[in-house]
Amino acid sequence: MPRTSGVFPAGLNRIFLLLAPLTLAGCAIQAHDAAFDRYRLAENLKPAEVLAKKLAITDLNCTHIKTQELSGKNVEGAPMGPVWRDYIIQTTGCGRAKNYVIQCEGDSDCRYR
Amino acid sequence: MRKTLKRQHILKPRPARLKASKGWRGNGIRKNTLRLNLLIFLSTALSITCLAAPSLSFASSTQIIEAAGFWTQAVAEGNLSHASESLSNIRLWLEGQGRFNNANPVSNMNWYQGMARAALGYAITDRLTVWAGYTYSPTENHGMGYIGEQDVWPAIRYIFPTSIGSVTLREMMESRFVRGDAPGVRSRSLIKLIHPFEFEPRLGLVLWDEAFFNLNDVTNNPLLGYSGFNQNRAFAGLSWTFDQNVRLEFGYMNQMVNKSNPNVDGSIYGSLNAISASVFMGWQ
Repeated sequence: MPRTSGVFPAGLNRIFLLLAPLTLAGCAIQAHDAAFDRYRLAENLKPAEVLAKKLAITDLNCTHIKTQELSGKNVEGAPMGPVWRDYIIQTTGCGRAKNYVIQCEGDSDCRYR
Repeated sequence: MRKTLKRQHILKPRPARLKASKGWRGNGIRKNTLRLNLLIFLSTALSITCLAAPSLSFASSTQIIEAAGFWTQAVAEGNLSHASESLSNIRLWLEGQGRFNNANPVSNMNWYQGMARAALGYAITDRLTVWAGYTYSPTENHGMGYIGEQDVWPAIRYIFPTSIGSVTLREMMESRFVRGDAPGVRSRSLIKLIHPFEFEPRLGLVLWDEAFFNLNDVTNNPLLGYSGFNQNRAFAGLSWTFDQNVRLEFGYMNQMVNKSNPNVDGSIYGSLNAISASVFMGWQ
């Protein structure tokens, strides 16, 4: 007969004891990362908009450009490296419009794809 | 399929905006988070050093066998959203390596080891991924027979930004099978920093260290070693980020392998001084 402790066999209890803190840690990291990545997305939006505006001034041949974020998401690009932020920025000016995909890494390194 | 780059513009780095920014739950919290991340980085590095130190304290009877080598690596990774949007959290990791050394005295650099690795992962968050994988390592050291090692492993990887760059932590627990003998269990702890330079953010300093510890003696197969410190790999080099999905890393790597037998007096270590070249590719 397998040794039991309460409802579950002793071996299962050990597994539960191991899994419980791991699950809690996973949930805590998930909550932390979600909030942190939202913050990172918001923080990088400004330089992404600046780059989109700079591009639109040439592409739309217009100096009065307005920008609007259409979407923003975190992207794990090349492995074992940084997590990037991808934005789609809509630019409008002088009756014309153009969308740009801007990718940002770090605090200020933004590139147009 | 990766879209072709049309053109690329780099925005000049700007000074940190700690005070100007409203911050994530306020500036204080953000600063604390950065400090916490740095603390985690430093404490992990310290832990690895402390764990490895007792085994690396060279006594007078320690012998170090030096060799030179060249390691190549190609890693591709991405999610399966191309197959189905519901699989966007599932990740695939494919990797191949070729390793060369100068152990054969009659020729310059010879292939002695390869590695093919495949793993499936689940992205718990954008930064935290758990993996289950398989590795096949064919090895033919000079003067020794052919060995094909097969490993299965779980792994966990966490990537986080710090004020000095992007830090990756990875822990693997390998079950190593050679010639059908009892498996050797080995833990691998990696810490990696990529620090982009301000004058050219595509160029970065890369530092990483990976410490290997055997968790059991596999006495019927000494190839898998004895319990305790197994090896350490330390790398210092440069990276070049072509775009979000392609990065090259090139530099110097030292591999210090514990070849000692605890039943014999003295310690023997193999020290491989290698040039390492890696390409990392991603897809979304």
